[in-house]
Amino acid sequence: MHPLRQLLAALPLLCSLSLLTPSVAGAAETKAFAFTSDFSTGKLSVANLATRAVSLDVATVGSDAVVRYSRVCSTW
Amino acid sequence: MNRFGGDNIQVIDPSTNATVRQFSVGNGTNPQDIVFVSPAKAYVSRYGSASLLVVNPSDANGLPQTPISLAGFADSDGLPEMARMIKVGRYVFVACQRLTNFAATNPSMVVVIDSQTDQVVDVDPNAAGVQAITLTLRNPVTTFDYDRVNGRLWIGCAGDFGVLDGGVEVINPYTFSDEGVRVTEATLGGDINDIVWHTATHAYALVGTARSTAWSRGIRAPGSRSPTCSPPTAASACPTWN
Repeated sequence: MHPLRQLLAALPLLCSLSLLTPSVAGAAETKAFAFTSDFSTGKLSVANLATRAVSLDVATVGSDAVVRYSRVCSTW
Repeated sequence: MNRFGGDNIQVIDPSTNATVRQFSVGNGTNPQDIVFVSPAKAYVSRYGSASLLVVNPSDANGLPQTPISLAGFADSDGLPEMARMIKVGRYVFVACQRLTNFAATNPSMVVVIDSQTDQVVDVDPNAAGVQAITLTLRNPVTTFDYDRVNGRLWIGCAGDFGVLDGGVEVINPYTFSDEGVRVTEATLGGDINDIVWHTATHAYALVGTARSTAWSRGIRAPGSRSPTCSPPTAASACPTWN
């Protein structure tokens, strides 16, 4: 599948990222990560929420991954 | 969370996209979700194990790792099939699907963990043993979402896929009690995939049908209430569905 189509297919996940920390009021988000998979390999792509620019396949992850964001661990 | 076949947690720095560390949570355990309590403590639900795992996400190997047994909530296959989690105050809520061969043949439950003691909370001391919250519907598949107006947890249960036997269920996280079904899959028109609470009168449900990918329902007029909202204890407790 074309990478852009993969990213578009992952849009529901992009939306779901807003659910990750429902009880925490944090700073405004600046980017969104999307997990994509061809069921053999997995990648993360990132979208800049201000410019809408997308950077494809910025990291390699498992083929059956889910993405979670931790604010409490942001100082690692 | 690298789930089936991965069985590990991969920590990625969102500013550089670099993998900071990666550690196993047990071969074949199929981790599903992670809830952070502090930089040194997080809970990992594991679909292929009968125990929840407490890890230190700041350590290179996630150590120490301490299991919390949920074997008492397993069905006949020996697994409670832990899925999504959420933390409300000091308590961590763990959705247990309790499927057998991926069929929703058993009642599903939400197990409550006290993050200060790492003990399973007995939500019904009047009953023998340690009790979890038993859901009305089966197969909780969505994220938990928190109703910030009424202080309730919502979770979508798909039941068996291809059958409109699920819906959205509401839990009181302060009394550890189930408050029943807020809207059914029959009303939503498909198998539930995800939910988002927006306001006291507005929420979203993502559903899938047999012949399509996920789709969302048309937007109702602002303020209109679902005719199947139950129990209609208060207008604010019955959001519209889109």
